[in-house]
Amino acid sequence: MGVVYLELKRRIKLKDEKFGVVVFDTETEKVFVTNQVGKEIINKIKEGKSIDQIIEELSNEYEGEKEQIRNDVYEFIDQLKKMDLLKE
Amino acid sequence: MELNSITYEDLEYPLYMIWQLTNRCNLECIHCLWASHEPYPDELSVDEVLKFGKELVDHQVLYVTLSGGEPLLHPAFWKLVELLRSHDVELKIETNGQLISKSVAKRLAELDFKAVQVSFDGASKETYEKMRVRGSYEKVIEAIKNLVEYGVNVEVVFVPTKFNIEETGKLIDLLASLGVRTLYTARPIYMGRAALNWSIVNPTEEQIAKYIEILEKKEKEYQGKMRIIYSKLSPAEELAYTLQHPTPAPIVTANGYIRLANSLPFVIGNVRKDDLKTLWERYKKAWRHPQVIDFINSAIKDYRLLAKSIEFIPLSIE
Repeated sequence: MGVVYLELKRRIKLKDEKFGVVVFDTETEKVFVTNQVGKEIINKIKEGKSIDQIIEELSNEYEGEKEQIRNDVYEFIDQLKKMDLLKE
Repeated sequence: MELNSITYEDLEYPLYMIWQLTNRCNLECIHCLWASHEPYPDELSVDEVLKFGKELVDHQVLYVTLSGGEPLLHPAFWKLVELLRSHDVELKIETNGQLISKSVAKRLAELDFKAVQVSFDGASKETYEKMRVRGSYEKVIEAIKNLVEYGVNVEVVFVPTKFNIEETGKLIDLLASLGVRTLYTARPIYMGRAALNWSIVNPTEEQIAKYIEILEKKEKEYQGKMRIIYSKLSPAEELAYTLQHPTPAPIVTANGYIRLANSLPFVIGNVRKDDLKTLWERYKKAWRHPQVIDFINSAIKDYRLLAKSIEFIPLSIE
């Protein structure tokens, strides 16, 4: 499998709140909440980084098994897809 | 890490607001909820509009819909949208389209509006101009063409009435050919001039049934090209739903009041004297206020009570 890039839908906004990070899809007016790591992944997607790059950067930044981080990232991306926040 | 749903009650400030910038309008539509034409005598001044706009930016309100009246007629319109867009606030404008020349369309495109929603109520000059008094059918078509030419996301809102509902299918075909990407359509509400003209505005149940049938058919036909957004609920069922699922979008009226919803007469404060935090906390509580619940339950039984919703009835909230 080649390098995989994702693209977030254009009108998605992030906002820090006390309880986490709000993800607001202004197209559908749906609101979700994630944590700081979720926000970081979303921002890295916005910056045009590939999934492997995101995993690499998070592994350097956070303690923990790289394999675990990889699973967490893929799981989060699955949720973004389910919530219809990614472009086809 | 997870992505969970939340309710608006968890939020410290609103994410989304609807702002009726002015009640002034160049048209006098026979179904207008707000009976717009003349401005309210006490509308927010240019300075007050910009001050409140700054407050929205400071508290990271992420998305604002500007409506009216005709919002393009407010003297602070361009300054306000430049302020909001310079802080990346997503914007939508609800307009009758009559003032959208090529240069206006270009300016809206440069500001990268999320959407421009144009009201368009008929597939013929005769029905459009009967509904939109002083409006020009040619100008609204021109407006859509200008917006599409500059790459603006155009949405249309269509209100079916007794005399234009038969044109639903033809209108959808016309909009698709013009490059409109989204159509919102909903029945008229018994408010403002719609209430005064109810005998010609309100479609019959047979007409509504046929209209829903056409919408379902067209939805399939234009799948992937144009979204058709409508509700099968009756006005009474809509109200019952609103009570169970309050909208998280406070409405700022042209004179600075914060209204709960279009079809409710209650206001919970004014941006002239209350800060956004106070207004938002009151807004959240207001949806459980006995007066609000009573009004909705009564209007479910008698929709004519909605005529009261054009008023500004203060709601006392601790």
